[in-house]
Amino acid sequence: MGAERRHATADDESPLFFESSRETLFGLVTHPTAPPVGTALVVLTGAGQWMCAGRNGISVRICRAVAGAGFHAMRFDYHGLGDSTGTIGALDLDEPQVEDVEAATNALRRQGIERFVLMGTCFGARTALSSAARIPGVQAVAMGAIPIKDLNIAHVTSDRLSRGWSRGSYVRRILRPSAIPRMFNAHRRQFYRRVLRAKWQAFRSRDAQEATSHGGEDRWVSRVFLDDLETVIERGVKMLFVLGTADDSCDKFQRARRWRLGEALERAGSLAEVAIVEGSVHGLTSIPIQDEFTELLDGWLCGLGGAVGLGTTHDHRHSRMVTTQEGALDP
Amino acid sequence: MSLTMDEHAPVQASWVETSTGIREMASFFGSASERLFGVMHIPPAAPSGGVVVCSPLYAEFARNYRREVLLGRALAERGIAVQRFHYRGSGHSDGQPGAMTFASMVGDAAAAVDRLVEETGVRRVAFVATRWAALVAAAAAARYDSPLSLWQPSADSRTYFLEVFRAKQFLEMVFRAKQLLEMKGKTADQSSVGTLMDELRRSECLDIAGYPIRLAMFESAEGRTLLEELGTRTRPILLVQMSRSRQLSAGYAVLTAQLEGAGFRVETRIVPGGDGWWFPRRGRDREQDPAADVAALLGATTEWLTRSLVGEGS
Repeated sequence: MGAERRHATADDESPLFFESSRETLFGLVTHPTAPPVGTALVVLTGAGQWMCAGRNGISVRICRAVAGAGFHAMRFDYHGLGDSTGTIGALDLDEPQVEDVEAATNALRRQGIERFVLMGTCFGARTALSSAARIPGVQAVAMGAIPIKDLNIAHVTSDRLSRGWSRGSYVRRILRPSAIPRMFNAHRRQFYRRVLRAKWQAFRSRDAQEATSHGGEDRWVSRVFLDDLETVIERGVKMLFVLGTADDSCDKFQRARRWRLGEALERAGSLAEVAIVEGSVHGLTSIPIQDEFTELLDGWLCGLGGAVGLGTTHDHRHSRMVTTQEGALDP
Repeated sequence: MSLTMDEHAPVQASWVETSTGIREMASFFGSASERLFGVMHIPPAAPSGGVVVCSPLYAEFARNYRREVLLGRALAERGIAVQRFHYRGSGHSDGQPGAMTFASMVGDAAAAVDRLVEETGVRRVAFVATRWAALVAAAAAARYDSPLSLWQPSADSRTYFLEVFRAKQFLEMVFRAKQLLEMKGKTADQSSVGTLMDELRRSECLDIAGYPIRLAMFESAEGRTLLEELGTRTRPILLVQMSRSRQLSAGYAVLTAQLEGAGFRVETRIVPGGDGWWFPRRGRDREQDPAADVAALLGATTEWLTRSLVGEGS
């Protein structure tokens, strides 16, 4: 972050309630502490965050930091979460909360802001992309650890999972902290055993590699994700993908570039930047990653220049990462 | 429903649920140099009492957040005004996380009481607190002679921070296992509680799943116990154990006996839930708690608070 900037404080923020369908959503608008550029950054929370401050208040920090560069910023609770009303059930990645984002941008329009940059990680990233494909006025979208494969665990059989899960992802899944309590559940143990058995059979028949990629095609990549991406490219929206080397989503993203995703990114040209950072961006579960992600986002945002109303090119610096179309690591 | 955004007071916004008349007001308040963020739930008629909610810290803050929102709404329906707030250095409030201490948190709880009393005129205030915040609420409640409802409280700071350190150890263990199984090369050594303590004292901050445990906070909490923070004036206490077990845990049985021995009137309830304070479920399981678990928690708490605040009158 630029040292000369004055970061916003609570005195520069306005809480607000606004309507989305039949629910009342809660959000906070951060007002710029520098001459306003007329663009608002809307921060979207990922799955596992139950209110819009984000892990260790990262969303608050981001909003207050970009205010120093002349941006408005907004963070809000989806319906059923945080201080909003309603209930929220199981989330599907291919059904992001676009209505809530639209309600948030409409609330900002009522304050005279017409240009938006959306950002989010994980589920928030998918919501940001889908919203950018549907909501007018979105100039750019930043996505951290975007999952490109839809998770619909309740609806697929263990056999399908055995193909969809790589060995690595199976190991990661059963070692997730949240999976440990499930091991005490007999049904869940049986489920994991079924997946493991099917996986083993696939492995023995030397089918594992093909099974992982469904015969060398990208059918495992979310159609919703690809369709949204192509719409966003057609709209000329700038994009930043931030991937973490320790994340499943990074491997999948890189693998999927062999097919339609790669073609789309090529077509996007300079509209799309892919940044790869060391560690896990998913959930922003370490303080260094939070700092790096914030700095990266800030640099990209300020580097957007005229697209978001910034007259001059700000110091656009990415630390410990490289931005490439190939996504190669080059610290 | 009606929405308002107070143009002359930009740090405040409210909405009214038209079917119940309950107003929710989000605002920044407190010292001009470091504002506190809070949400107040105000019943349509003059409230019969007030409740201040002291949230837990770190990952537990987010984990418990929705329960506290729903508690605020449930109590307001019963005619009780509720003030929830974020400590300075956390959530939407101003302040640096590194400056948070036990004393600053108790001060923030007192500021929340002032705010509630000033806005609603309530004459009796109770506290609801979760986990380690029970000690904060106990210290604040001692000033107001307030009843306390404690959700899965920590009996002392030592036990709480040991649990936090174990969370880090567990995360390290999972990470190491992943590295080994995926053959991603050399793994770091497993930390012991002793080495974590050394690291905290050396670097003044321990990163646990993206949450900073600061030395200032740790030292300010050192040696504190719930019993001592409660003070000597006896008051009613509700201890809520959140667990799948239907039996009061040995630790809570001892704590209850200690509190009763000190003259406090203690009631205990056991409600389902409370698992995964540091390791929440993710993905499709984002619906954080089964509705029945939350209903049991809120039911037990609102019934007891209504009885303590309204039944005994002020």
